[in-house]
Amino acid sequence: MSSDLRRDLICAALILAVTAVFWTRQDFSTPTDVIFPRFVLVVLAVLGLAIAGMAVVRASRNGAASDGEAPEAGAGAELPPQTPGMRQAPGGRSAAPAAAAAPGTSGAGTSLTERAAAEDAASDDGKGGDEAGEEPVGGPRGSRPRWALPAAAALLLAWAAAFGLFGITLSGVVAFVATAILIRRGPGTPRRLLIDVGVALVVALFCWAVFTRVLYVPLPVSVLLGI
Amino acid sequence: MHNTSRRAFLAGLTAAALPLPLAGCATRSAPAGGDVADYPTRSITYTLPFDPGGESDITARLQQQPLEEALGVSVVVTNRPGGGGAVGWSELVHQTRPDGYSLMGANVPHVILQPLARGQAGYETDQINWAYIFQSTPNALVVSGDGPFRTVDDFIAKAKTEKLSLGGSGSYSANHIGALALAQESGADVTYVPFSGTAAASPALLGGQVDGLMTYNTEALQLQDKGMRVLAVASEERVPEFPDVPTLRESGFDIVEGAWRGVAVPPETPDRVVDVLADAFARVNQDREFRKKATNLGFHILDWGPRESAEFIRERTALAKDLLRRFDLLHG
Amino acid sequence: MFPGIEEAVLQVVSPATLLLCLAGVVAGMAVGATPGLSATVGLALLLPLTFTLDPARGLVLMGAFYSGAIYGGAFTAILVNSPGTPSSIATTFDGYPLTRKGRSEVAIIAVTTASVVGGLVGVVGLLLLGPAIADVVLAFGPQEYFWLGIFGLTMIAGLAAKSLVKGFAAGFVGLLISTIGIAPVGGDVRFTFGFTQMQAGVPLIVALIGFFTVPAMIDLMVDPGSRAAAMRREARRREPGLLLRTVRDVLSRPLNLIRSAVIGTFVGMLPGAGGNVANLIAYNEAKRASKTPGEFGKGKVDGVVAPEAANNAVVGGGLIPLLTLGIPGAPPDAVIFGVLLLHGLRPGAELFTTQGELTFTFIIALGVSALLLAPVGLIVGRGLQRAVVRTPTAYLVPGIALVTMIGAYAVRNNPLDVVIMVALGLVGYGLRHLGLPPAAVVLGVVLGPIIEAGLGQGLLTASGDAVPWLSFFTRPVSAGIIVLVLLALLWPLWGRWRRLRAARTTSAAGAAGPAADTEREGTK
Repeated sequence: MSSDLRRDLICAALILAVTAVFWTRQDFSTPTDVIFPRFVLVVLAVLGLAIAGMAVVRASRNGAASDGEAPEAGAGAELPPQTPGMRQAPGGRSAAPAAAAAPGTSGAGTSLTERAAAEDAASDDGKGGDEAGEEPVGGPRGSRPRWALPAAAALLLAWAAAFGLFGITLSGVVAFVATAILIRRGPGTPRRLLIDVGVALVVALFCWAVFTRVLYVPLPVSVLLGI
Repeated sequence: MHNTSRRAFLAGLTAAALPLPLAGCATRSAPAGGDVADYPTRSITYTLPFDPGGESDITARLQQQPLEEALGVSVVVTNRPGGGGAVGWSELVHQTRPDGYSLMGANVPHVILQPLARGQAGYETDQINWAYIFQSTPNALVVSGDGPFRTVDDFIAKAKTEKLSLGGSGSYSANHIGALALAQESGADVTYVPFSGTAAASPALLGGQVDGLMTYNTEALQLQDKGMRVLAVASEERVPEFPDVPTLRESGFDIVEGAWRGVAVPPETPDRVVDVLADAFARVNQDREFRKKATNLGFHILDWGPRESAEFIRERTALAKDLLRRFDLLHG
Repeated sequence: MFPGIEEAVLQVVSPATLLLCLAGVVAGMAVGATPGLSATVGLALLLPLTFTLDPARGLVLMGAFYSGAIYGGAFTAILVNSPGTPSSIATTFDGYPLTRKGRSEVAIIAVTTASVVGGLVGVVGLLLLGPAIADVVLAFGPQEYFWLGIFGLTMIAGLAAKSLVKGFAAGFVGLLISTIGIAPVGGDVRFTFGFTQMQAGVPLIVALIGFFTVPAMIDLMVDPGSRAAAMRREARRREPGLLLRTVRDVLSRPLNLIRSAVIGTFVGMLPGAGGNVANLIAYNEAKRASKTPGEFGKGKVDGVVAPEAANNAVVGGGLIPLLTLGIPGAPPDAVIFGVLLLHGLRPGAELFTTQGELTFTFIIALGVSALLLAPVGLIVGRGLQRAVVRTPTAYLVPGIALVTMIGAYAVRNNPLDVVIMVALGLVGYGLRHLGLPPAAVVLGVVLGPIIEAGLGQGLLTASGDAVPWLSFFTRPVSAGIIVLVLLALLWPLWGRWRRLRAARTTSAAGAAGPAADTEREGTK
């Protein structure tokens, strides 16, 4: 039950943090424009507190019911995880995605080559595969190594940033191949890689052609290539 | 089966493209090329900082073909909406290459009011480098047809005894400062109610939720058809579509207000390029088909080149600053 | 009664017009199915072509394109959890689960049936009710839109599977996101955190792709095996008779179809709301009326039928205020309005009398386009479905990523929107695991501007009153919607009370099962 408690407390803390950040940014003044955001912020704060309160109450009630549970329910983020497979990033430093990684995560099946493949994608996230999983819970096919989520997140973010900076075709081909490699958990044979690059080229150029030539969307282009 | 369907899908994409000349390549930051002397040599992108389907957008799409004829290169019309135009204009003055291959529609009084009222609009009014101002839609004061107001004076007299509401399109828009100016000149108590667009404000008058509308002549024409009464227009002289409606000046209020549409280029664009564009837009305005359609839409065609436009902007900026200051709406 | 309708029928059944309908529907589907390219953008692209056609043909093409685009939005909603247009938000709720179960073909056939029926109901509404019902539109002032938005918020009760409090928290996060940028009424710039570009706020379609599609992509990247065996089976399977069976199944519950289509026609008629609201309300009502509401969200055919019947009905409904009052009922109608004006046609009663032939040609062609959705949709839609199901995950995911990024960019031609999309996607992925339903967030983003504009405008229009906010309670239509809001809030309570009572009687009879059930319910 305590993982539920921890989840709810993280949820409440995030909501309250967002509310606080937005609250300090109310540098606007027209009366009609102040009412609504302020109302929303107040309600959010109340809901955040309610989530935390209900979680604590429920945890203490459950704690009383089954005595094997955690002794002090109010301690919040310090509680050790109880449910197998429901592990959290240490210290609660995690933003939402990291917390999200927990349920059902398994470190099984992380071969060396796979890690190497993900290294560049996950480079700006230090925790790529540093923890061994407790128990292989995934199905026979479902290899869900720990680095997969940060790698996927970093890859998508990098792709989105590169989209505007390097143009759609250049960033598109590179990121397309990187994603394909990530999904296959490794680059595979050179032949495979060649095919991947070919497919990426065709898809990216097709998208580029359709959007710029047919739909007249002025896509960002690479300065080097001109497309 | 599979093949046919994919072909059908492609056919769909191609069908959407039928109207458009395939020659144009709509790249945002295409490599620099061509001399100023033989401008233009390649495709020109004409961006509207508003949503598709609005009056500015439709005007640009009407201009596209005659503009291509006048310039001799293909013209691609795209949209870059956001912030009531501010996002587009901010990009125009800061990020667009000043080579004349990227034009952007620009509207008065938006480009004047946003920097004054917002503080961080992302551009300054004098950074907008006007190539041409080609049309205007003056404000019109419209009230219910079966209501008590028959003249502007009726309306003002009532507004001096109780609070009246005037709907209009948007905040810090032509309608907004038109309503402010009327309140200022007459001393009446008028509450301006902004709606999300010209058409969105009309149901409020038809349904009786507001006492009147400060709208454009184009919309006033629609409303007159539905039995509403046009009390005055905010133009310098009477307008042809309402020969019997007095101007606000005739009614004793010195107000000329409305929206003016034009086209602008980045600040450092060479004068020669600006002149070529001004010539091209002048020729578009002479196109008979374009004139007919623009008139159908209720636009008043104008021919103001770069210098006249800049002069006009200076005048309007001084007026607007004064007005906003009196209502304490200036930023900072 | 309908002057000029015979000529109109003759003109529509001419090969040239039918061909135009077909081209419009196909092109519309392609644009609609591309996330980021909405019906409005497509219609604007089409505009120059209509200059070269006569007014009737131009309108026919646009009407067909509009129908096709709204329908096409369902494809990507079902296949890759990416609503092609905001009118297909709710289609993802059950459409993507159907795909994951390997039943995407069923979903495609069902939405096609629903779209045809919805489109026809909308057209019939436009034809028969058009001028008569226009005054209803005018009874909706700012106060009514405010309450309509509040009514929409009560849908959270249905979307929040586990915790009502978390559901509302998610909804209010959405409302907060909607306040970023320029305020709809006063024009103040809010919560830009110093970024000039944020003046424009977060566009709905960017939030949609972010909250729905990106988490789905991440799921596939993290666990490629989760693209279940069911989907691979579907790629190989050929089920004879599936088409007829599905169509019959959908038609066997006409109440769902008709209810959703009527909701779509009505909401489409209101200029302040459009397909984005209609499809959500229709989904919610379908769920509320269902005997098995628990199956919604897990891949129930009725859950894709309701939103798609509603959004295609919006096409006809939205034209009611346009053709009678000159007020666009939905954003795409603004472009059609422009075409009317260009040709010197002014909306109003005379459009139905002296211009009858043109107007009825347009309306009947809309009906024909709705019918054309069936054959074209079954070929194009199922073709796309087969292609998606057969594409290996390693190519499907980057392909979707590329297209959605271009789509997010194309909404406003703004590279920042691509980054916002991915960032919101990561947030959405996290929210899901925190128990905050992303659908509720999106609901907040959709409804925020409607609620806020209604609130601000309502207070301003009533500023002459002694107590302006009282106007939110004294207007008769407002009062009616307030009653609906209360009913919507009390409905789940009543349902719980009924279940409790039923449980009590059964447990009195000695059964233990249902009692445990209610206990779980009690923890909320």
